[in-house]
Amino acid sequence: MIENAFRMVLADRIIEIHCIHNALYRKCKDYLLSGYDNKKTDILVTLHNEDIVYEKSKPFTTKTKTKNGESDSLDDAYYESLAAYRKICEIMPSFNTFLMHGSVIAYNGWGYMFIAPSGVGKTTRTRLWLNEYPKSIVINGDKPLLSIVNEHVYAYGTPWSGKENWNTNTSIQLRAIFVLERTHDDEESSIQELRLSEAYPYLISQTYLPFDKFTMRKTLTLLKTVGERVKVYLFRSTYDSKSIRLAYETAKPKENYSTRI
Amino acid sequence: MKIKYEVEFVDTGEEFICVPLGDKENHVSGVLKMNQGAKEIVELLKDDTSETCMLDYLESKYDNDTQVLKQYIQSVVETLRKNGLLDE
Repeated sequence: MIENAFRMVLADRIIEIHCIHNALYRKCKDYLLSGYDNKKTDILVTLHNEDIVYEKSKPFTTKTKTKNGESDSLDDAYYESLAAYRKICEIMPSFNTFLMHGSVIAYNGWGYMFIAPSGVGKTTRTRLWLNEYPKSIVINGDKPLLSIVNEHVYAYGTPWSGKENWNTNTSIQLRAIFVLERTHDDEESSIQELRLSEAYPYLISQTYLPFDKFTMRKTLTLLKTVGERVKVYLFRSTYDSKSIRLAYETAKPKENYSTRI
Repeated sequence: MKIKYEVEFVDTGEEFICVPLGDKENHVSGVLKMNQGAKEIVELLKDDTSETCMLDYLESKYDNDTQVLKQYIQSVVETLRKNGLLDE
């Protein structure tokens, strides 16, 4: 294997990548297909310079803030990485899988996801959750793949996982999605289950919609299944552990007393 | 007038979510919640049509007062216009 051509597994699919910069290989190292494997490739991604140029042309992605507050140009390897994930996510809906922007935590055998526009506090809530429930693991802190398998929704780790780079190469069945909203001053945390018609606009706003119309339609159908199969809550949350407990206690599976003696 | 992009309707059981699909240059974000009547108006706008034609169609289908239907069509058209979804 050479570092500019490799195979990896994402959401149980084999992805073959041909890239220009070997930084992408390093980024994906925890997800590489181990050993010799003659299984067929599901998705072939070949990256070209024009893919990097395209990513650079998109708004809000050309500069980043350095620690001293100055803007700094990101390097081509970063844009190539974005291009790779975009290409993967353009095809993934064909395999009942799509990207939803958010942070997924696994705890006690279930997945719990925070979604919100950037800046509302997904990372902070994820940190609070990890402090409150230290046995939790982060499946993906920013860009997990969600997959529908036998009408159940699973969240998968991927190497694309935001600034904190929180990701684990595993999957978990998703139990709840918390749509985060900020509270006003002195307002206590509150949580309210949403009906599908209420939840869907929130879900779609955080979902990667492919350019191809057919695949986009498929994504909309998958998203509807997520809304039907996973409880979605509007979570107006303060920045404290009490609000995290409220979320978990509301969404966790209820004990089945009939199995007790 | 005509709807600018292909749209997809997601039936949530109690209402429809209208999702404009956009195109490669104009990746549309945002969705519109619609009832059955608004959905039918958008369906009519997939082909070039006018408010008069839409009114004729709705009058043939529903018992509502003509003025009520007219205002309803205007409100849906205005919502689509505000969201940049109409070619006129």
